[in-house]
Amino acid sequence: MVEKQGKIVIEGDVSCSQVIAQLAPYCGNILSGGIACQPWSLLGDQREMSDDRSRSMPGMLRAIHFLQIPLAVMECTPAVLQSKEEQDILRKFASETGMVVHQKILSLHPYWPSKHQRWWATLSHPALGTRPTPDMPPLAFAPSMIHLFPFFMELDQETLNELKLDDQEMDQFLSTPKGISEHQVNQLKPLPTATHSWGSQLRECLCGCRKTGFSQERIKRKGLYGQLLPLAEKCTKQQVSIPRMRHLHASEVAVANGVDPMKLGLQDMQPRLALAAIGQCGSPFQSAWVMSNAMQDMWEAGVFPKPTNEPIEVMRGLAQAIFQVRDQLLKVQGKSESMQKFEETIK
Amino acid sequence: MELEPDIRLLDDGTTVDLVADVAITGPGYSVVTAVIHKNSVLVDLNLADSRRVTLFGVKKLTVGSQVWLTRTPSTLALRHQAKEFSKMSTVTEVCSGTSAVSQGYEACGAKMVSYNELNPKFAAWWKNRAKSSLRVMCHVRK
Repeated sequence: MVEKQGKIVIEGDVSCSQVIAQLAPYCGNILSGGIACQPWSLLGDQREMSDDRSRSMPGMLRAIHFLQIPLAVMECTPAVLQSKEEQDILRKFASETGMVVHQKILSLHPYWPSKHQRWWATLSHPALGTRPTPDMPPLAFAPSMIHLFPFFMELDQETLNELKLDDQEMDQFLSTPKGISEHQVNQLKPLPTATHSWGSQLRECLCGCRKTGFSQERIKRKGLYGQLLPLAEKCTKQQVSIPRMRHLHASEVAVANGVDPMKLGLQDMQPRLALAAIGQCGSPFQSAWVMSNAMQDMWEAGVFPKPTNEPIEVMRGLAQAIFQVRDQLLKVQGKSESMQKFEETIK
Repeated sequence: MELEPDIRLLDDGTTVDLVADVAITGPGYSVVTAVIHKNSVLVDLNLADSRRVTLFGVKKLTVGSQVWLTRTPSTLALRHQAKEFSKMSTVTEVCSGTSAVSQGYEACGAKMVSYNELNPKFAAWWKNRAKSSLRVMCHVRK
């Protein structure tokens, strides 16, 4: 898909002027960026601007300025809204450039069964007339995993072997304060917030960000995270036979966050690398909500062509597409009552 | 964070990036005013066809009482044109990862045109899917 459309990919650090200059000839009029969230993440060390990775935020602001972008959308962890340093940077940026900054914390779970709460900001030229992004519309009921996943994917043996917990992982999850069941997917709740380290807390991260698993001290301090599913295969732990577990497949996490895994090409990635990739992604429901509202505002200000659909229609269209992908992935034959209720409520 | 330094406060020989409005042009030079710190300086570039320009990699030089920005081998002058209404919905994504959010933008009718990613693993994955890719080597600033 990407290759047919002739899109350009530039590898490099956006905080570097060379990268910004390189982007210039290929740059759209809207700049979007999911800035690195680790410096502010509750699961990280919260070193904020002293964390080297935090340079992606000022880097993106410099790109907006040097490329004279009229509309930018930023996304990160909700902690950015409470960070004095980040807020000072945004205030200074707005004051120096005259751009209008609106910030919003968007929660996904009132609309879709995943706890994906993110900070979103629009930075726009004042003539565009963008207003603060409204809350996402909640459904008549809060959907849980059962409404989307009555059951999970059947994996081929190779993929299953990759996602199956090894003995060390089993032991570590079993030894957490509430035991391994706490990490098992609860279909009566929304999926917890996916993280980049789901699937790699006890081993190397395949994206290259870590050569080994987290230290025992860190795991003790921050806890162990992941969402697991029991397998038919058994293993013996402390003389008891228990089901071995697997990590969720990246496509399952994707669908639970409103992402089409087929379009993303997650099936072509190593399973645990794909899990790391999807664990750091923003949700298309949220990006669509922010963008469609901004487009609506710009159209009302007379500086943008009329959007094809109202924001709520865009959300419905995305949801319908995800339902279809889910049906393909799970090879759904007939729909359960909870699936039907969810789909009808979205409509 | 500083978007741009105040040129007047820089030592000679310092390389700088800045956005400036073009006020006067002459043979081989222009007078520009930095949009943030409002300093007017001379640049050894003819920017006759531009209203606003981003100058990447120009070096400060004081000659008498005049401050000059002189070109270096890495200088790039990015000339800004007014944004065209019909192309307002083109999107570039930076720090894109595998870019799930672009699915939301495309659902709104936006058109993704380019991506930027730092992580070599994800960038390599993108390159395998894209028609064109550019690798930009640069040092991480500490």
